[in-house]
Amino acid sequence: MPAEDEKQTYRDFITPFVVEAEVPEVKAALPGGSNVSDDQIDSCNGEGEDEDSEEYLEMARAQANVAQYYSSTSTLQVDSLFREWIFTFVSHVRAMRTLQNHVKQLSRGPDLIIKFYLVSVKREWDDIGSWEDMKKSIRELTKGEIEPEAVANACIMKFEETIRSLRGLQKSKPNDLRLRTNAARILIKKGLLKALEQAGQSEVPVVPSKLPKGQASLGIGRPVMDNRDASSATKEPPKEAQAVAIPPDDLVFTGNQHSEANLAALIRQFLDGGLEEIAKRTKDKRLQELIAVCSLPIMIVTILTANFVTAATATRRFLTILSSPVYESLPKYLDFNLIGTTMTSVTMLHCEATPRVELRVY
Amino acid sequence: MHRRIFNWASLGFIHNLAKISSAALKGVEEKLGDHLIVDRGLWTYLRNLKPSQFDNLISPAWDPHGLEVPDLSSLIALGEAQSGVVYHKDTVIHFHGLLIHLLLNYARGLARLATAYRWKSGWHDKKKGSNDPLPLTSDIIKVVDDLFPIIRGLSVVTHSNALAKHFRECPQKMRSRHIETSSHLLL
Repeated sequence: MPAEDEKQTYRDFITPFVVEAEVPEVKAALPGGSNVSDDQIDSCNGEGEDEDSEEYLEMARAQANVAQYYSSTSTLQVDSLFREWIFTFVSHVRAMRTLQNHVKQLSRGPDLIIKFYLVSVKREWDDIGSWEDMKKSIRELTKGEIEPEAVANACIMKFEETIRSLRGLQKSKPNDLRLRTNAARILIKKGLLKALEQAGQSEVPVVPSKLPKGQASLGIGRPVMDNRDASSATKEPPKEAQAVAIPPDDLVFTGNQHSEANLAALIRQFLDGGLEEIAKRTKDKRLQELIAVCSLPIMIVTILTANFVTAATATRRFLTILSSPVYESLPKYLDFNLIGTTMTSVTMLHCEATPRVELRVY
Repeated sequence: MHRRIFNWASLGFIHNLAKISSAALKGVEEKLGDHLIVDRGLWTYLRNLKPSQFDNLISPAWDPHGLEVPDLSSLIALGEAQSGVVYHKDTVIHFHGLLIHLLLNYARGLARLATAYRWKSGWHDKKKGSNDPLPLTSDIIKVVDDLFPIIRGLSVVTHSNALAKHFRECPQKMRSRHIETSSHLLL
């Protein structure tokens, strides 16, 4: 570990580059604030690890150390999670180019906003989601009454409003992060569904939460719609929402047997909308959990596990796919970009075209 | 991401990278000899960049330390004829410069993101800064928009064959376990 003056040299070097924005102290930036010791920071970087250990295990240990900070400061973790959701959301609507703050001009309330948002998600799903298409869609939906930019902006505000309300959950159950995050998801899901109901299901049908036996849904709360022909929408899911054929036994994930092929199949099934069906078939608790939290209509895949080493391995393998021949065989429109990893072992995969896949490991 | 890059080890990694001398890089060139590293992904990415996009990635205008400015045309010059070759003895300095500039630009972008989010020491303490303004979504979006090309560039560079080769050939100082570990965490 370098001496304090050496660390200061490092900071001094970079400070001019970020002069516009104050560089927070490293300790302050870590969860736990100034209570985090230098030794703990060192441990994040593998200090004291066995020289001969495999590099990914070393990284996993470091990540586990960091995760310990989080487990001791769960409120911060939740806040961090919410911020990342916003970040993800903002990234998602980046394509929509929110230009003006015209929210006050909205005359139809948030239902329309959510409806539009879900339409845009579906459009992305169909890989036809250019901003021009979306603008056209909004103008059709609103009969030209509302500027598309206003709707896009309101989407963000609505989401932030939801996030803010979710933060209230932190105080009620401060010691159970998992419960709170799950509750948060449920709240978002319910909020979206309620808004959809108010908006009228005749225009925006939603896959019912309890499907007939043997019929797969396309994801919790994810709407199935075709706004190119809204009149054809009914309470029954359209053909594309019907059960997705999944070869039996092909997608049984057990223990650490997440082979590249299996994970590639998972991606395929995710894209085909058969995620819940996979959840039914798999015997892997972690994968079930992964799929169970795919509740947001912004197409987020989340791995939520307490086993950091396994999580790191899973992440590594997932990333390996992206550079493997298996990935090469995936549809070309899938353009995953690794947009960043953090010390919290959160790995986000940004899907440039559609849909967005985000792999998070806690 | 913000926490990661502003960790002292990450800062040290960037600092040490930037402090590799020209003489040391010349040594890398000599070690490479006639060796050509094919990297179609990186080459395609660079070839498709417009000069203005490349300038935004490296932002030489705000470089206070006078770091070596990479030259896009030099980086991609051989690739057309040699099927995606990016890293060879004539591009070592340019590639090195590109990596450093991307990292610095990334740090700068993340710092701006932190500002947009109103992150600061003790932000989570409700007693402190209770009158602070809330983050503005428009600010965040703007920063994210600026950040995305840098992230994209950094992602391509850090996953390139060229980087792997570059690190292998770099001076011993860069291969210390400390720095390697921080590079894993950072990248």
